[in-house]
Amino acid sequence: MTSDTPQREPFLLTLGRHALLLAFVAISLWPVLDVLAISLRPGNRLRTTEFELFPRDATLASYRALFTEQPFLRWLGNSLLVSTAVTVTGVALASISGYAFSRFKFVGRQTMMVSILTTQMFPATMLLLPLYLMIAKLGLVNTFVGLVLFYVATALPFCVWQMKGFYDTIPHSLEEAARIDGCSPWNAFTKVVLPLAAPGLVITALFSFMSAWSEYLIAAQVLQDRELFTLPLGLKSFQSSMSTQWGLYAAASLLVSIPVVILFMLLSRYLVSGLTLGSVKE
Amino acid sequence: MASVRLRNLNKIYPDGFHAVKDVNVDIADGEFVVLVGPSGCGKSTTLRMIAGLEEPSSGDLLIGDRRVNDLEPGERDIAMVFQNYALYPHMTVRQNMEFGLKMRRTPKAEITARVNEAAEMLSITHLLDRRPKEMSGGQRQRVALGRAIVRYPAAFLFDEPLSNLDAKLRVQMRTEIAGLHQRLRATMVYVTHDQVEAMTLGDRLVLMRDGVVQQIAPPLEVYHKPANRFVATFIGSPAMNLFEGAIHNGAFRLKDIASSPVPVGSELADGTAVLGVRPEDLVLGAPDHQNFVTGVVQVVELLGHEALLHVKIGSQLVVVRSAALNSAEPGATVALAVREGRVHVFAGDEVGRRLN
Ligand SMILES: Nc1ncnc2c1ncn2[C@@H]1O[C@H](COP(=O)(O)OP(=O)(O)OP(=O)(O)O)[C@@H](O)[C@H]1O
Ligand SMILES: [Mg+2]
Repeated sequence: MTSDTPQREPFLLTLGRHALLLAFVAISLWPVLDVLAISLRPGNRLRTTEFELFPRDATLASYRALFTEQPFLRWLGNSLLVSTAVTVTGVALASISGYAFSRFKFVGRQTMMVSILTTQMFPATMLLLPLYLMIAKLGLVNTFVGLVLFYVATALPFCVWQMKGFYDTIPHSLEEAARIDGCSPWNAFTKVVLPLAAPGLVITALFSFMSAWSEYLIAAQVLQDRELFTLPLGLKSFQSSMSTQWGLYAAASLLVSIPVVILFMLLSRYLVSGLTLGSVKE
Repeated sequence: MASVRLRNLNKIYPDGFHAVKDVNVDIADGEFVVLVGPSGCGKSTTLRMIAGLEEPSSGDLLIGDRRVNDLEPGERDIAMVFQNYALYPHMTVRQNMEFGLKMRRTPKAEITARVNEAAEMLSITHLLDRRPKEMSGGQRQRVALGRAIVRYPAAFLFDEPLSNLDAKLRVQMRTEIAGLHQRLRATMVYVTHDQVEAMTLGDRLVLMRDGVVQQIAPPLEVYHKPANRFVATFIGSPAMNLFEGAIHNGAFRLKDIASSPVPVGSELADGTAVLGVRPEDLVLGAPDHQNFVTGVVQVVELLGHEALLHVKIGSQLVVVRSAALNSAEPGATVALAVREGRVHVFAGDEVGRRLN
């Protein structure tokens, strides 16, 4: 009886493990709390001698200023618009092309798969110049269309692979059953395969959204009008060569992260896959 | 309901593999035909061509009087039951069964009536609101049957529908499918590599090997008059015993081993041949009898109602089925006789065509 109860691990080991985990929790949470503290401080104090989370003279002045004195809402709208457009386009394209790569045998399939993957091996900064030139030629500099095009192009390779991998786990016999039940290939895709790929679609959507939401480098090249700025650009604009408005910067940073947190909470149940379980038996 | 006809059907896969070779089968309206053969012989490929899931490389496919080669699977008026059930996981049982009818824009009242009728027939009414993952394998396969039944198709296609079920359930579902056929009188094409399923379900069997049809005949004819050596050993368990030898003056003699001649019919030409004897047609000889050959018992398998004796004759092991459980001990020398008129004679060449 005692032989198969697991041996209790030594107390020191447990302690060490927990200490390590706590250290990592602290490392990831501390900056967030720090930003919160800065956003609540009056004026522009980045550093103080105190270590309190809520400064004694805490104020929401920075937040108020964001909405009243700064075009924060405008930037928020811009970011939402751009990210949503990137998500919709990315998911639409990735869900279709991933399916083609998963199911159809066509000339150049392997080559295309590999070349798509290859684009992921270069850092985005390297593609910045050629992509910018393309967008300039198309006359899309300083437009959302140009930015969305840029974002979709950089996010799509990962999304296509992601979706292909997801479709690969869905048994072909489901589409075959659907075809026999009277579906056209397109109907079999939309009525049977796509609903089953929902978790994959959600992951792809989240990835597309986030890659656009927090992107700075590309946006900085494409957009020039302060009116067109997305949130990361807007944030950066609080940082001038003379001084940085740390209060505004911190408050805006926190607000930027809220939609992402909400998205994650809403979609987390879709991230648990296993929807195809039980339909077929291999 | 309709007949299904396969005319010179060939399938060559894109990699050049010739999986189905010149298959000709006429399946009558209401007939239950079983495609049977070893793994990889092209059964599924043939069935999938009928379904429209694979495109024939050449040949014609007729369902009723329509040539269906160029029709989509959904336009062929067939229903298929898959080995892995292939139920739509995101739909309830009812939705699974309704799906094909909805796609065909069947009136709502009729859909409900048909689904209820089929559910009743299969005793799955209490499962209608469940999802596939909430059911056992047997229940899922029942639902898959239901999804096919509600369509009132011209023909049912089955691809090894029972091979994922455990032994007991398989027997039960086999009976159920047989009952379904009797009740619906529908044309059914059934793929299996299980010879018991083939023998018990089929009005006729189509035996295939390496993409070539070997024999098309009712089960008992396949059993009692196998068209060649392959069919002879594929159907029947334990497999038919084969003896190499030669025919001389209408009698068969073993090669290299002393044996009494077995009369096989005077119309057969002299020359090398293979004699086939099923285990139940090889009997322990009485001393005063004209025995065929003698051998030494190696192993005795007692199955309760019968015994299987593995007897060594020269370098060959043969199986004798004996109703008597205490007929011989391992190590005993026994004389074997052949039941009169129950021998199969095959040509001595590669194919081994039946001669008698
Ligand atoms: N898509 C394909 N491409 C190339 N060869 C194939 C393809 N599908 C099947 N084959 C080959 O064709 C032959 C027949 O396959 P099929 O699936 O019809 O066999 P089967 O008789 O149903 O066997 P099993 O009892 O194992 O299901 C096999 O040798 C198989 O390897
Ligand atoms: Mg098969």
